[in-house]
Amino acid sequence: MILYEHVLSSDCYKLRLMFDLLGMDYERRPVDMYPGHADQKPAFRALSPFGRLPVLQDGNLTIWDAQAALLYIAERGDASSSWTARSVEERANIQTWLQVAGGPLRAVAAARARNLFGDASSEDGLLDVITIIDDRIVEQEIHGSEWLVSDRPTIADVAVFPDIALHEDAGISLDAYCGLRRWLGAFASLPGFAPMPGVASM
Amino acid sequence: MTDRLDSFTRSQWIVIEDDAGIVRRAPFETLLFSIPIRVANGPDGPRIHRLDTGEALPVLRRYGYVWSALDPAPRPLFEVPEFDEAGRRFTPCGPVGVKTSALRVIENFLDLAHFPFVHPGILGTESETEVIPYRVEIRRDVDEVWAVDCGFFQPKAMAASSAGAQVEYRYRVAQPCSAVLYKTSPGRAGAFDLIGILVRPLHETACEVHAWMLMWDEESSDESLLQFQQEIFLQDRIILENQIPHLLPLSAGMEIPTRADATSIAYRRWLKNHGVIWGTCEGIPEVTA
Ligand SMILES: [Fe+2]
Repeated sequence: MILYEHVLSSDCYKLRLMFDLLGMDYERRPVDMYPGHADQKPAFRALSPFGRLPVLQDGNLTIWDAQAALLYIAERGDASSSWTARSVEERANIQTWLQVAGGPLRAVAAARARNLFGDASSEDGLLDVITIIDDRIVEQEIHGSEWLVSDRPTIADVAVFPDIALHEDAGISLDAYCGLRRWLGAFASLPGFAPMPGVASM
Repeated sequence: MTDRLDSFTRSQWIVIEDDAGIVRRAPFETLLFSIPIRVANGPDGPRIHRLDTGEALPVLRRYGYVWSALDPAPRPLFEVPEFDEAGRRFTPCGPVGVKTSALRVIENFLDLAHFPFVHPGILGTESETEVIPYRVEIRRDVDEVWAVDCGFFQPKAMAASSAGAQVEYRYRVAQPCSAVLYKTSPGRAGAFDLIGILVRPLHETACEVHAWMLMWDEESSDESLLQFQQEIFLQDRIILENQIPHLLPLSAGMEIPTRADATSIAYRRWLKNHGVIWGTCEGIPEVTA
């Protein structure tokens, strides 16, 4: 599979993580997102209509949504189906958190982009989404699990992890979010885990 | 805040944006030593004004960047003759914001000892952490700090490196907020590649860092060159933002010099001799920054 990506993008990190956690090989094709903004140019938009990284290609298939690509990698590379849904209920819950990763959590990525590159963007809902994810983890812990959806890590955790793990770049302190800090630590202990620049040691 | 702006710092040309960034962003507003400025681009080139007084600021175009200064008569900009060598490839890496003093960014850039710990597998390796002794000198003719004969083993010294290599380094502090690194070129025997950082202080503890490369490299793609350098800088950024105090201590005893190697000590002393206040702990009784 070919991954069109940028080394500093949290959505690209998500897919690199999934490949690493599954021990899969893939080809990295760097895109000059910064400072060249090549992701906004027609050549790249031919691959990704909204001009968003990452793009995953497998043969004739082109996937230009990070969450969809994450699901695809997991379904292709995980023979045990440990990272994807094993029941109808799990599928609903995983889907919910994939939507959070592709929706409200983008506010965190936007705050990070503004701190790093000075891009103007809105901070609406920044702490809301952090609090909601923290609450979810704490609730899961009460039920004896340290993961977002199940008693094992799933693609929901992989989808949400990068933006939370890069909180310092976004100027967000997790001091008040004990659940999130424990969850980040547990995630970073997974076999195959690899950090990226800006992921604080946990 | 600007009462802390010393005359040496004030008289320096400071980077505003690279040429492509000016074309893409202008007109835009930003900060220079806590003073809001407006950068416009016209047929006769960039124009920069203070927003508080309306005063027009001097503008210089050099080395692929636009420079300005609060002082109407800045000191001459430092010389980098390698920019005139045909065949070298110039790559500006785009500005990155960092919440710390510009001087901390320069000090980190000069520090060889952090490579194995902050850039493992790229600029250093945890099994070879020894820094070969090197010489630090103040070059009186140009009033710059140089460190020469620095040697280090690096697993992947540059984007074009295919294997680990013993790399020779020379460091140069050309201005309080500008430094250049000369590094053995993997693409041309006997030659040096240049990597520079130009830092614009937004406030005393916030800055914008412009990194650039000037290399003998016909192989690497623009994308891989940029991402190689950006990955390294983002590894430094999180260390820098977590380093306390954010202001650089100049007086002996204010910071145990475990990290501060010979280049850092010389840099701090040079700043102190020039009466630099901005971005330092000088004149701040209790270090809380
Ligand atoms: Fe570094």
